[in-house]
Amino acid sequence: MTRFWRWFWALLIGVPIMALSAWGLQDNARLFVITLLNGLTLASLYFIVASGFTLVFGLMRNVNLAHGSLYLLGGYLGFFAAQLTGSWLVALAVGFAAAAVVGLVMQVSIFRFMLGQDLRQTMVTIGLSIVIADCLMWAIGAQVHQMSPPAWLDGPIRNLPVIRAYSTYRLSLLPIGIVIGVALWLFLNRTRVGMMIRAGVDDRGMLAAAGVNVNLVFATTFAIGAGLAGFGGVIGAVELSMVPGEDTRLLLASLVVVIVGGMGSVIGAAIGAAIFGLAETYGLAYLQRRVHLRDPGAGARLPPARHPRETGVSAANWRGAMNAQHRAQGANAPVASAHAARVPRPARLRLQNPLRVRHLLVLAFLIAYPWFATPFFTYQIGAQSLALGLIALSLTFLGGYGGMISLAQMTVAGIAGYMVAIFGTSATDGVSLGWPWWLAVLIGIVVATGAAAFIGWLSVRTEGIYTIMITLAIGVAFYYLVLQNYAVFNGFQGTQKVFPPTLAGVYWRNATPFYYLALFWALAGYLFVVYLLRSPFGIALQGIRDNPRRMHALGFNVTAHRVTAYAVAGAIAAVGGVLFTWYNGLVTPGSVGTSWLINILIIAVLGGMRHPVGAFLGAIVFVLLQNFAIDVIDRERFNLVIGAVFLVIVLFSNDGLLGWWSALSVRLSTQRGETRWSSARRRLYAR
Amino acid sequence: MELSKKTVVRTLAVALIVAAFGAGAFAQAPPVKIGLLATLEGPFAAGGQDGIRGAELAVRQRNGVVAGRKIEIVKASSDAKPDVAVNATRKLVEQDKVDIMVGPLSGSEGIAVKEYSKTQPNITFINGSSGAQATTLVNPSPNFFRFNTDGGQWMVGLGKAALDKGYKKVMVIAEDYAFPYSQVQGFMTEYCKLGGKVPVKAWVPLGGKDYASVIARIPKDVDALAVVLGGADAVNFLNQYEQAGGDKPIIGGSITVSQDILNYKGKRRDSLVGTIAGAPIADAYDAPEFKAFVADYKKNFPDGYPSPSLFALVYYINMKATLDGLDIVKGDLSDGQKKYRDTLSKMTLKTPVGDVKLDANRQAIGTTFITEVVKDAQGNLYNKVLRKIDNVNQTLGLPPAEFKVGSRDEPNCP
Repeated sequence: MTRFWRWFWALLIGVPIMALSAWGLQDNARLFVITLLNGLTLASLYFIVASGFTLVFGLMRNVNLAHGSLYLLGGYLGFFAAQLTGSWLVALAVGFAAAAVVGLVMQVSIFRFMLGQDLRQTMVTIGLSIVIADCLMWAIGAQVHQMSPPAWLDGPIRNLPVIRAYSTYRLSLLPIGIVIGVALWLFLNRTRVGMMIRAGVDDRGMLAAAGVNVNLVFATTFAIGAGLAGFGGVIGAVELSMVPGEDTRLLLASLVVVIVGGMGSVIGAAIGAAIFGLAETYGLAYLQRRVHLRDPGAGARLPPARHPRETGVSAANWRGAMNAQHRAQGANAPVASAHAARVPRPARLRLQNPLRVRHLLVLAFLIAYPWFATPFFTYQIGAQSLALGLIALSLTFLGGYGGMISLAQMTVAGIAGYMVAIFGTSATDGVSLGWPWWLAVLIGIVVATGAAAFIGWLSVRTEGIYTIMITLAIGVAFYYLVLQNYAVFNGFQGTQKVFPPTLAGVYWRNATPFYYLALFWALAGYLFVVYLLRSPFGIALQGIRDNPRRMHALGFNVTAHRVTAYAVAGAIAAVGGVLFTWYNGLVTPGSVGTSWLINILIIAVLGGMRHPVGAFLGAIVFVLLQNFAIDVIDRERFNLVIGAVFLVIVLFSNDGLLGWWSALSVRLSTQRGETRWSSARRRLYAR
Repeated sequence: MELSKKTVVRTLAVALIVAAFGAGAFAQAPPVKIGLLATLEGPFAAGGQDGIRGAELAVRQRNGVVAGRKIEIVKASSDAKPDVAVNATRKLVEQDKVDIMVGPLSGSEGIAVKEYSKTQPNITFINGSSGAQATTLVNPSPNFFRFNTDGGQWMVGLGKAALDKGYKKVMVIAEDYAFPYSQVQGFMTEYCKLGGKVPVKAWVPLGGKDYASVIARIPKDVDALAVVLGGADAVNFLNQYEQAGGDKPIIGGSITVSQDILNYKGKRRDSLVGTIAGAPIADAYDAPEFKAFVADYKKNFPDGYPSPSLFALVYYINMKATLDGLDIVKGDLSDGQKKYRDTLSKMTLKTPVGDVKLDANRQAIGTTFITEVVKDAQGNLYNKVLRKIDNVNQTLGLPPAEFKVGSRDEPNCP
C-alpha cells in the first residue's frame, strides 16, 4: 500500500475516533474512562486466549476449534483447585497445566498424523470440541461456577480520579495481559526454542534437516498454546464465571481477534484484541440498540490489492517470513499450494455420465418415499435433509470444485430466509411488509445471491484456511447484526410463522407437498451443479482450483470466475435457505448463528466433497443424528453421540462417507479379478 | 435329537416372544406417553435440570401410574432457541407419538411451541415454565394450556413493595427477549402508576456475560436496580457489580433470585441479602402443602438444590395438572382428547402454593409472592415471604382494554 493510501486510511479511521473521544470525554468523562478501562481489560483476557490460538495456527497451520473447550477445561479444573487449596495462583498453574497436557495428548495422538491436511484437522477439532464440552457438562453439571478472586484482589479500588472506583481484579487483568504478551514475545524471539519455532514456521523441512526434532517442537508449541487457553480460563472463571457455552464465546472471540489482528502474530493478536475489546465495550456503553460492535473491520481490513497473508494490522518479520515461505512454495509446487486446505480432489466427472440403473432406483425411492414413510419422517427427516442438503451442496460446489471453503453459506441461506420473512407475511406485522409470496421469494433469492457475490468479492483473495476464517467472521458479523437490530430484523425473537403459500388448493407446508417441493428443488440444484461442472465455466473453475497461476497465464480472469462461483453457490444456498425457513416456519438469529455455520461444513465434510451427492448424504446422516442420538444413549448425552460419530468419520476416512464408499468399492472390485491396469486406475481415482 | 445351541436359543427366543405377547394380552390399558421438554443446554441448563426434577416428582407422587395407565415420560432438550424447541417438540409429537406434551422452559420457546400446537389439534400441549405474556394473550392456541402464571403476573405487588422501601427512581437491567419484557411490564405497570420513575432501561443480550459497561452507565441518582436476568447472566452481573464497588439495593426478577442462582458454586455474596423480588415461589413459605412439597423434593432428589427452584415448582404444577386431568377423565384420551381439554379448562388445580384456575385463554390465575433474600444459620440463602397475593390474573387486575403486552419500549415512565 502506497504511503498516500496509508495516510488516507489512517486519517479516515483516526480522525472520527479522535473527534468521538473528545466528545465522549466532555460529555461524561467517567463513563468514557471506565469504558476505556473495561475495553482494555476485556481485551487482555481475549488476548491471552487468542495468543494461544494464533501460536498454534501460525506454526502448524492448525485452526484449533477446540481452543474454547480447553478454556473451559482449564477454568473448571482451576476452580476445583482453588476450592481445594484456597489459592488462586495454584488454580492458575493447574489450569495451565491441565489444558497443556490435554493439548499435548491431542497433538501427539491425533494431529501429528494429519500434517498438511488442514481441513481435516479443523474438522477433528470441531468433533473434539463437541465431545469435550459434553463430557465436561456430564462430569461437572450445568451449574454456574463463579470463582472468587484472591483476597488481595477482591473488591474495588476506591478514590480514583475521574472514575471514583474500579474493580481491583478487573484492573489487574491489564498487567497480567501485558506480562503474558511480553513473556510470549521474549520466548519466541529470544530463546532457542522460540527460534526453532520461528524457523519451523518458515520452513519445516529445513528445520528437520538441521537436526531439530520437529515433532517435539510442534508438541511443545501446541502444549503452550493450549496451556494459554487454560490459563485464560482460570482468569475468566473469576471475571465472567464458568458455564457450558463459554467455550463457544471465547472461541469466537479468539477467531475474530486473530482475523482482525493478523493470523500468526503475537503483536497482531494484541492489537486485534484491543480493537475488539474496545469496540465491544464502547458499543455496549454508548449504543443502546447495536450493543455489540464486533467485527468492525473484518471487511474493511481486506483491501483487494494486498497479498492475502498480509491481512491484519501488523507485519512482523515472523509473518513476513511466512509470506516468503508461501511464495516459495507457490512457485515450486503449484498443485500443493492450491490444496492448502487439502480438499480431497473429487473424482473426475466423466463428460458423458450415462444414466445408470442405480440412479433410477434412487430416484424412484425418493419419489415413492412419502407413500411408505410416516409424515414425521417425510417432513422432519426427508424434507429437512433435502433443504439442508441443498445448502450444503452449495458448499460442496464452492469448496470441493472451486477450492474455496466458505463458512458463510448458511449466512446466505439465512439472508434469503430473512428477506422472505421481511417482504412477505409473518407473525410480526411491524417487520413484515406483506408483499405477495412469490415476490418475497424472488427478492430473497436475488438479494442473497448479491450478498454471496459480495462475500465472494471480500474473500476472493484468500485461500484455504484463511477463507474459512474470513467467511466465518462475515457470518458472525451478520449474526450480530440481526441479533441486535429490531427495526428490520426483530432481534432475538426473529420472525415467526413464515410459511409457504396455499397454491392450487394445496397447502404447501403439509408434509407430503412440502417434501415434493424440497425434492424438486434439491434435484434441480443437484442436476444444475452436475451440469455446470461439465460446462466450460465449471471446467475453468476446477482448473482455477488446481492452479490459478496457470489459468491466469492462459487468459482466464481468475477473480471473476471465483466471484461468479460464489454467486452461483449463493443462489443455490438461497433456494435452500427459503426452503429451510419454510420448513422451520420461522427465522431467528439462532438460524444463522455459529453453530449452524459450522453444521453446514460438518454436513458437507461428513458426506464427502468428492461428488455433489455427498452433500445430501451428509445431510441425511446429520438429521438422523440430530433426531435420534437422544434415543441411543442417555437422553442427556446426545451431543456426545453426535460428536463421537462425527469424529469417527473424520478420523478414519479422508473424505467422509463417500470416501468410505469408494474405498469399499475399490476393495470389492479388485476381488473380482480385474486387470491390473483397470484396478490400479480405479484405486488412483478413488483416493 | 441332540439339542444344539442354535435350537436352544431359537426356542428361548420364541418362548420369550410368546410370553411378551401373552403378557401384553393380560396388560392394563396402554401407557400414556407424555413428552417433557426443558432446556438441558444453553444459558438455562441448570434451570432445565431442576424443571425435569419437578415434573418427575409429580409422576413419582403417583407411583408412575395414573387412572390405571402407566406413565411414560419421553424427554427432549432445547437451548432457549425457538427453532430448536419446535424441532424437539415436533419429534416428540410426530415421531415418538406422545399423547400430551409438557414444555418448554423459556419465554421465546413458548411462543414458538404455541404456534406449532395449532398444527396438532388432537394433542394437548401444556406449558413447562415459559412465562412470556404473548404466549396466551396474543393469538392463543385452543390446545395450549398454561397452569402457571406468566412473567408479568409474577411481578404484581413488587412495584408497591419497591416504593414502600423508598426506591423512587429505579434503573432496569434486563435480558432482551420476550420473558423479561413481560416481567418488566408487570413491575413497571404498578410502579409507574404509583409514581415511581424509571429513567434508564438497559436491555442486554441473553448470554452476554460482560456487564462492566452496563454497570458504568448506572446513574448516580437511582435508588435501586431492577435486575431481570437469569442463569449465568444473573450470577455474573451480581458478581461484577459488587467487584466494581456497586452498593445500590437490587430488586430482583423472578429467576434472578431463584434457588439455582442463590446456589451457584462460589462464595455466597452477602450483597444479595435484602433483595426483594416477585415470584410464583417463596422458599420459606410455611403452608403445610408447600412444606410437604419441599420435603418430597429433598427426599427424592438428594443431589438437587437445598430447596426447589422456581423451575421445579412450575414444572411440577404443570405436570400435576396434566396428571390430575387424566385422573378426572379416567385416562380417556379418545375423540381427539376433547373431553380431556374440557376438563383442564374447567378444573381447579390444587398446587403447593394455592389454587389455580384457568381463564378464557387457558392462562392460569394464581398466586404471587413478594419475597426477600435472607441467610439461614448454615449460611445458605433463601427467599422469605413478605407478601402473598392471590387470584392474580393475566391483565394484572387492569381492564383488558387498558392492558398492553410488555415490549422494549412499553411501559415507559422516565
